[in-house]
Amino acid sequence: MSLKNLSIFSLSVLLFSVFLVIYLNQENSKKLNRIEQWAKNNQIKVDKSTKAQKFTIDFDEKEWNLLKQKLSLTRFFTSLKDVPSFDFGFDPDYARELVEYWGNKFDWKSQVEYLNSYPQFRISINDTIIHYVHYTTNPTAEKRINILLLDGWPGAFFGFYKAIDFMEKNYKDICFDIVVPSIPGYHFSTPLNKIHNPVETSLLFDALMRYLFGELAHYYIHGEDWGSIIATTVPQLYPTRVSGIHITMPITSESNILNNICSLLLPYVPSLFLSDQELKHEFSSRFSIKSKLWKFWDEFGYFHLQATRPDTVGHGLTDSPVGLMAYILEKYSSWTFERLNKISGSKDGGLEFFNKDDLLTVCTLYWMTNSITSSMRYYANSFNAMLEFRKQNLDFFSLSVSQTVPVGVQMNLNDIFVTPFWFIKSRYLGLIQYKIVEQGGHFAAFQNPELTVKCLVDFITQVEYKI
Amino acid sequence: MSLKNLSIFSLSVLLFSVFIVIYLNQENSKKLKRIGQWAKDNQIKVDTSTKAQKFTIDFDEKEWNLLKQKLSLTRFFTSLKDVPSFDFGFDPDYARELVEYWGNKFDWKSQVEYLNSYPQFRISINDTLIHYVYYTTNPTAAKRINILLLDGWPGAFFGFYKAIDFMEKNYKDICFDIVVPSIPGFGYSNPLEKVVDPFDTTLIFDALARFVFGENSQYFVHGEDWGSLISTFLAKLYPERIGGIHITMPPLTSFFDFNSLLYAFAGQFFPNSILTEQEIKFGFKFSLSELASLIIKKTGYFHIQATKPDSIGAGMSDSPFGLLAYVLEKYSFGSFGMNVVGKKDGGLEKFNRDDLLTIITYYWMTNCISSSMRLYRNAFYTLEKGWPRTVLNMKKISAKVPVGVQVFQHEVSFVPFKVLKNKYLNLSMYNLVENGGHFSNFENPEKISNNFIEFINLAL
Repeated sequence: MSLKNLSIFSLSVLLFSVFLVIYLNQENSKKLNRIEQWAKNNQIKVDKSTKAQKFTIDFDEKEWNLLKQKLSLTRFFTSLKDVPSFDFGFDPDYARELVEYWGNKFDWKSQVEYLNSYPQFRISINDTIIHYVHYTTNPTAEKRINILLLDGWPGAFFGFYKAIDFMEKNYKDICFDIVVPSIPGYHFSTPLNKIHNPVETSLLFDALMRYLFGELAHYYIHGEDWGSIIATTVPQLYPTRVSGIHITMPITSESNILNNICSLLLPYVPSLFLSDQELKHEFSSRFSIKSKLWKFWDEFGYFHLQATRPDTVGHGLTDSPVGLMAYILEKYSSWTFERLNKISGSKDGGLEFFNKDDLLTVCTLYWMTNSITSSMRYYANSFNAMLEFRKQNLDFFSLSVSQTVPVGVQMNLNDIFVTPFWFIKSRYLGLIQYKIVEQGGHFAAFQNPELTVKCLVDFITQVEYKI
Repeated sequence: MSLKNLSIFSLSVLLFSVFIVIYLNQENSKKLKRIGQWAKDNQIKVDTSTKAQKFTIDFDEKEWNLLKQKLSLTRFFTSLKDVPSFDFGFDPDYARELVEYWGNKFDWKSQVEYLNSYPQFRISINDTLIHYVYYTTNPTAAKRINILLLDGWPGAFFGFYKAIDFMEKNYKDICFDIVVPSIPGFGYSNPLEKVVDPFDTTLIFDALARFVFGENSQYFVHGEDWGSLISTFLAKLYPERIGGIHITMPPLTSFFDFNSLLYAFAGQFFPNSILTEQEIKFGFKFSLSELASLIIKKTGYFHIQATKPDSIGAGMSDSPFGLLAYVLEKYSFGSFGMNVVGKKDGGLEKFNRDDLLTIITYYWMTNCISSSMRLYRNAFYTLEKGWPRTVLNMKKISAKVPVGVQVFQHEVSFVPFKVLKNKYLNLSMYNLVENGGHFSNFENPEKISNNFIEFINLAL
């Protein structure tokens, strides 16, 4: 296609898009109003009878011995000799090594003590059990910030412990009132015997914050993975209550047609859409449609399976510790490190970067709470909910977040996808901070507690002192 | 944008991109003629030093006890109270029931005897271990026909036993020389420690056929699931040798071309225009939204097996219960379609419980679930190896080779007759069968036998 034809084509497309944008914006505001009305009607009442119980994790010796017995009976399969390790998923030889360690050296009792090092509670809201950590750093400091720390799958609440510790030691002039809930169906937010989706989680977590901080409470949200989605939904529901959101995984793919058309054009005229920094980090190739489709194919098999048949894969993961471990830890590998150089052909898939006990604590936590299947059902529930809500014209997952809600984004370059500033801003209208983290991966606070906290507090500071 | 429109848009973009790729591939069309020559030149030599070993399956008491021990330690999770059973996959309550039976009542020793009721062998071809059944029915009959019976995932070679028995008893005037190989990585075609894809398997199976039937002997092929794909590869590579192929699942991947795209577009807006009367009666559909629905709702397992088979293999190699649920879910949905949702047993009580558990125990005892799932990844990434793999799937089957298609009502995917004709230039038989599913040899051994033999007689 000649340059002239390409220009005419692009110009026509652009003009068409402008009309489309204006039309869609009007639709957008109507829909946002509908959501806010729905949010008012569906706000969860937190009455006086609701009480949180203090919660301590037990070291269940019987369950621990059963786990070790199963580990000792583990049956393995052999790796392929003619392909790089980890190309076919979690390497069976490394799995064997970790199982050895898990069954013979890993000290679950000490880990339980570590898990209990921050005060925890359980509460039933709307017939749903929520487990959460509630901790206040530097209680005498003048500046008080309420904050929700949310992670996702396959994460765990204690992934934020090092971040919390860093916040306490390095920001002595701020009192952070921190809440770290687990999504219903995850870990100690169990048992969960009914369907539950991210919009319901958003309602619940908001209710939790009002329970803890009062009906007029304001709070920040830091969200990773599902936490980013929940952090995006809460301000759609209750924009006046959320002081700001800080996310690592902005969702923009469906926000508007203009974005999708521009994605098509981006590889040809990258400088039109990308900043110098983004160009330097090869966003033009990573954000191209071809690259995204390929990434989606390569990495989203688990998502596809969990969103359609979670129980089918759940059985093996509930009954086999190595099965659970391989399935989960593969994510800690492929979502944290760059594939070609760091993972493919390596002995450990990059995992030796992490503390082995930390990784196995994540696995043991899913194991002990028998929550892997309910955690995976969240995907199917969300997919079904998305279709349901769309029928009711409540497009949570594609509508924008109001300009009045400040947004900070931490873009980790080794995460599955990268999204440029321009595209995020079209959905997150209040985007005021965008930081690229070069060696950052999907599990931001778990991998880089200090860096993540710095990004987060920088954002909060910007918001607090601009107002 | 409604989800329906979005799906259509996305699928159009995808199909368009695929079309571009295919078009570029077809620049090779001049080179397609070379495939026949290539196939001849790269035929695997089967020399006199190649020897097959007789093979009998052992009843391994130690392994059987370990299996039962693991079953007794099974840990379960609870079903959701407010959704129909099987809506989220294999129902936990029914799984518990099966595990109970498996650990306490199932008689593996008798099943092993049953599995050994037909003579088996193992042979190393191209450094790859192949297990196969070789049986001759009615050896004194005048008419002699060589046939290859090919199964797929998650099937098993002994799924054909009832069909073989039926053929022996009901066609006394024909001597069938039957070979039932297991795909490398499946069952006793193990250990397999290198990458073997369906294309490699095709060359190996043809070599096996030449080893058993003789260097220039003609043979017919019946293929299900992966067997259907391999059958089409055989017909494309060795048209002079293949008397005909009889398949139950025309591989959808052979139809990712402009022609099919047009039909799918037409099918979107004028659904009946692209279907035969019988296809309409059966409720089959071929349209963009139907394909999108198939890809989204039914191929989760395919997606993960084609990308990260080892990640999911770990649990199923270690937990018999996990293996059971994962595999039997296919026998449920694959045999009855979405009708299973709401049924306590997912429809599985229709089958003989021992038959189902024999399949699972076979996958367990051979520790082959991971290597069998790797086939999906190997198949997908095979294109990286270049020509002729990049063109073979899209090639038409020449008029020299008759193709018989027998599609069961609940088969997992569907390609209309009008579209099939474009690729199978000699589509000599096309039958739709009511009330059957994907696992044809398992569920309908008589129907496939009769249809296959009718097809062979037509071809001869």
